[in-house]
Formats: sequence, C-alpha cells, structure tokens
Amino acid sequence: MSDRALAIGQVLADHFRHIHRTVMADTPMSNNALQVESIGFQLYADQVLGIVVTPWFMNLVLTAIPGQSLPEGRIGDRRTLPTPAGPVDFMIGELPDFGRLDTCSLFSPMFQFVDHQAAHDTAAAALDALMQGPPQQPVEPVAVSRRSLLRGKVRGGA
Amino acid sequence: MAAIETFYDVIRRQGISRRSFTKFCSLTAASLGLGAAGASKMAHALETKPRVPVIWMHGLECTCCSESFIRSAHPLVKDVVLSMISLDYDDTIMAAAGHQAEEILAETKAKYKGQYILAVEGNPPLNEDGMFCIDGGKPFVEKLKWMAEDASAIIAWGACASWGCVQAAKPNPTQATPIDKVIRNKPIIKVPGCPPIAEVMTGVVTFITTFGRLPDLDRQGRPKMFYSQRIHDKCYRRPHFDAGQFVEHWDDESARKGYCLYKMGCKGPTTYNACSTVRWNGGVSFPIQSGHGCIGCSEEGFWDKGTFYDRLTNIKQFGVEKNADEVGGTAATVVGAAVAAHAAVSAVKRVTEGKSSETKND
Repeated sequence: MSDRALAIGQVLADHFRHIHRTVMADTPMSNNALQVESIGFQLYADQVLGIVVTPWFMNLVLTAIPGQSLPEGRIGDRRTLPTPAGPVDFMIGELPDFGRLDTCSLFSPMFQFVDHQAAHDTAAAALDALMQGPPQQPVEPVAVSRRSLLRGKVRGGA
Repeated sequence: MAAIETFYDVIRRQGISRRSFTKFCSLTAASLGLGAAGASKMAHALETKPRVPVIWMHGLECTCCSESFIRSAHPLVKDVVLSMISLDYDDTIMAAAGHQAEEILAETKAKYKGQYILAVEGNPPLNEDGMFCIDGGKPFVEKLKWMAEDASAIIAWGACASWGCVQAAKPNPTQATPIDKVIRNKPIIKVPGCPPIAEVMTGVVTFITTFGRLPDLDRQGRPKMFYSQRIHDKCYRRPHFDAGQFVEHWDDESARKGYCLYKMGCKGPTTYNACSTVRWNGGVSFPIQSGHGCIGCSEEGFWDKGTFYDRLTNIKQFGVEKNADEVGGTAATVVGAAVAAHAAVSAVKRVTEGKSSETKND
C-alpha cells in the first residue's frame, strides 16, 4: 500500500519539477540551490500524507488515495487533520493537471536552506516530529489507603 | 463609588443582557486563543475587577487606528470603548475640551498613579524641540513623557507609534520617532498595522484589562497571539503561489481567476499580521481577497521599501530573518543535522494548534 503513496509522491514531484522549469526558476522567490523532492509519503487516516520540498516552499501535503476522495470542501477553506503531535490545519487547494491537493505551509520562501540536504533533513525531521505522539504520560500511581493495604486490596488497582 | 465600578456593572446598567455579555466573553476569548476556560476567567474578571483607566493620546497620526477600533464587529464594542476601559481621555471622542480636558490628564496621573494604561496613537516628532506637534500648548513629546511617567504600561497603536510610519519615511524632516525610542522605562506593547485590525485592538485591550498584564510578546514587542502568523502562510491564494500561478497584469485572466498577487507586488511573504485569518470588516474580506496585494503595513519602515507594486526582489533584504520570530532557529541558515531537527520541530510546533500559554497566568 505504501508503494502507492510513494508513487503519488513521485507524481507530485514531477508536477512541481515541471512548474519549477517552466514558471518558477527565474523568479527571485526560488532558491535554486534546492531541488524538488517528495519526502516520507505514506498512508495516514485514509489519505496520503507527505512533504513536498521545492525551491520556493516546503509543505505538508494531503491527497486522496487513488479511487477515493478527500472530504468535501471549498478551495481556500481550511480543514483540520488530527496528528499525534496535535491538530494541523490544511488549506484546501487544487494543483492543475493533478487535482485536489490540501497543503500546510512549513517554510516559504526557502532561502534559509543552504543546500538541498539541509532542506531534505528538515523535512524528514518535521515528519518524524509530527508523527511522534505527545510525551508519554507517566502511569498514575494507584492510590493505596491504609485500610486497603491492611485488607490486602493493593493489587485491586481500579 | 465610581472607582470600583466594574465593566459588568456598567453594561448591565445600559440594559445589556447577561447572555450578550457571556457571548462577548467567549468570542473575545476565542479570538485571543484562550478557549472555554479563558472565557469564564474573563467573565469573572470583568464582573469583579475595577475598570482600568485608559488615557488615549494622539501624536502625529491620521486617526485611522481610532476609526478601526470603533468599528470592531462585535455589537458590544461601544461598551468596550466606553465602559470596559473607562476611557478617561481621548481627544478624538471625549466630550471635554480645552483646559477641562487637560485637567483630566493631571487628575488621572495623580489619582491612578502606576495603574492607568497609556494608549498612544501616532508618534512624537523630535526635531526643533518637538514643535511639529503641539498639543494643548505644549510639544506632544513632553506631554507623552509626562503621562508615561506614572502609567503601568503603554500600548503603541498602529504603524506610527510602533515604527514611525509615513511621517518617519525618508527624509523624515520632523524626526518623527516611534514610542519605544522615546519611552524606555515602561513595558510597551506594539500593535502595528495601518490601521491595526479592530478585533486585534479590542482583543489586546480586553486581555490587558482582564488579566492585568501584557499578553506574550514576540522579540519585536508585538502580541504573539496576533502577529506570529505570516500573511503568506495562511493566505487563501497560497495554493496558486505553490502551483506557480500568478497575476501578470491587473485585470488579466489570472486576476479574474484569483491567482497569487506576488508579481503585482504583494508583500504577504514578509508580513506578519492576522489579516488572512481574522480578516476585516467583521471577517468579510481583506486586501488580497479584494484583488490587491498586501502592502506590508504592519512591518517596520514599509514606506521606505519601494512602491506597493514593486516585487519582493530580494526577500532576505526585506527582513524575513529579523521578523521570523516564531520559527526560532529557522531564522538562521539551516545547515547541519542538529539545526535541521530544531527547525523541523519549531515548524511542527507552529502548525499544530498548541493551546496558548496565556490561560496559565492570571
């Protein structure tokens, strides 16, 4: 299944490579030390989640599993995706010749990245941070009253 | 006694229902990112704490901050202006005039020493000993310093008070100077914008009067709750930027389709403000939604950065690093695994809706 997610990542990367070549390469918004890359594409919550790095932005993106569709919404509206790190707002959007693509901006423009490796590492670390749950809650110690202790009810727990 | 009258007492006397009051508290708490607990804390404070006296002074300015403030969308805003904050002096909207008005300043300064809030709209010109702005027969700068002596905190309204704005644009003949360069020994909160969004202004005032302290500020002294988001990150036209779809000429086909306005000079990528989320006129629209690029009015020195229609040809020069307070380590160049990890964690923290720390404090 995750092969399908990776394949979608590749399709998206090809789209943005085309946009880079045809439109963005000569704009000052583009950090041409970077390349287009899709990173960490995976199935998540019945959708495909990943990060797209381009010379002009780094976005978390959400798109549909082929044959399925994303929740309805108007272009430009926001929808929230629960993640282990907390709820994330995605903007509903559309990529020409690709279709619905919901995005959440991590960085744009991209001038703080000196080379593509730095951008790649940041994207990978961002996805890790997003998928890591909140810090583990310590297990609540069982309240033991003197009476329970004397009556041997310590193990009762609940 | 009038001195211990609360905001709630005043609005009840004016016939406003408890239901409206509660709604006001929850709406304002929501706009401040405080959640349900914040709303009840706010309601409690407004019912029990005495109103905070506010002196609202005007230096070199155009009064657009006042105009914005009194047009805040919530129907109770007139009570925010006239009741909650016990607005003792505001030369634009008060009834008093002349010596009678000036006496209010002296009286408030003496009676509420160390308690009142000084809200300043506009800035003082320092050239020629301040003669370019005379207020009540004195240079405004003297009046400002005098009232600041005994204020508990200062609100710098708008781009003028925060950064200088148009009157400080090169060559700045009057030497118009932002408030924090004149008053250095008081906490100052900057609420930039030309003007600031009404809901942001009422939100800031409500926070200060409710919790008796300034909200969390970024490194530039702006309230984080409203100025930590970049227009570019939350702009509804952002998908068009990502896809390389730009308006090339006014009223071209791309403009009609609502494409990105970056090539028409939009300053969204370098501007920190709440316009793309809170919007204007009660959430109806904001400049980009009306088809014009952001002019970056809440950023320092926006008058001296070329025309409104110049493209951001050099983003770095325009000050991204300096303003990217919220993204922490990413403001510096990202090189090396440790910095990349830090940048990533900061970015994820920014996009996950962490509950504000504001509710933790009284």
